[in-house]
Amino acid sequence: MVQVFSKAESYYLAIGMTHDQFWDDDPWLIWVYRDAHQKRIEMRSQEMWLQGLYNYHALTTALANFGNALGGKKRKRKQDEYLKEPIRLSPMTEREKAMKQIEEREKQIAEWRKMERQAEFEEKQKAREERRKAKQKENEVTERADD
Amino acid sequence: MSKPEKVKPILIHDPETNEVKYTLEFNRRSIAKAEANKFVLSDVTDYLSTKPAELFYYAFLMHHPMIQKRVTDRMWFGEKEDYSDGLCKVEGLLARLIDLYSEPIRAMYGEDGEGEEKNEPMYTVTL
Repeated sequence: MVQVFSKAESYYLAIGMTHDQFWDDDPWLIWVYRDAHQKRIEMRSQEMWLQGLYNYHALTTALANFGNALGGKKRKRKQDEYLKEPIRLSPMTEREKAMKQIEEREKQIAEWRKMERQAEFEEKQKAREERRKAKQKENEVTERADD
Repeated sequence: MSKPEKVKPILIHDPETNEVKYTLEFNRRSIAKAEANKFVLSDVTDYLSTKPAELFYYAFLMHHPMIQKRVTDRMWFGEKEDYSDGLCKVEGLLARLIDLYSEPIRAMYGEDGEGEEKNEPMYTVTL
C-alpha cells in the first residue's frame, strides 16, 4: 500500500497538496484537492474561451476596418469599434437589474418624447405649408380680381 | 466517481470523566509505519492473539503519535486474565478497525478499490 501512496503522492503535490497533508491529514482530503483541481481546469478553460472571444472581436473589428479602408471613398462607412467594455461574466444583482430597467425606461421615454416633438414639428410644418399655400392662393385670387 | 461514505473514527472515552480521550483513525503515515514494521492486514484474522492488538496500536498513531504500545495493549487486553475488561471483547471493534485501516486506500480509489471501472461478472450464481 505504501508504494501506491508514494507513487500517487507526486500527483497530489502537483495539484497543491503538501507532503504533510498527504501523509498526516485526513485521507479524504485528497477529494477536496481533486475537486479543486477539476474546478481550476474548468476555470482555465473558460478563461481561454473568453480570451478567444476577445481575440475574435478584435480580429473581426480590425478586418472590417481594414476592408473599409481598402474600399475607397465611395464605399466609406462608419468605423467598427472594439467592445466598449469587458464582457460581463457575473450575473447582475437585483439592484443593478432595477437600475438597468429604470435606465431603459428613461431611454424609451426620451425616445417617445423625441418622436412626439418630431410629430409636432412636422404638424407645424404642414400647417405652415398649408397657410402659405392658402395665402398664395388668396394672392392669386386678388391679383386676378385686380386684373 | 462519487465520494464514498467515510467510516466514522472510533472514540475511546475516559472511564472517569467520560470525555473522549482517544480518537482512532488511520492516515497514510500510520499505515506506512505499520507496513514498515511488517504488519500485514490479512494476518489479523490469522493470528488473533497478537495482530489485532497491533492493529489497535497503529490506529492510535494518527492522533496520538506518542502513545506507547503497552498502554494500548492494556486497553485492548484489559487487566484481568480472561480479558473480560479489555476492548478486545467489544463486538464489532475489530471489524471497524479493519474498515478504518482500508480508509486511506478507499479514499484514493473510491469504492472500486483499484480506481478502474467496475467489471460486472459474466455469469451469475445462486447459492
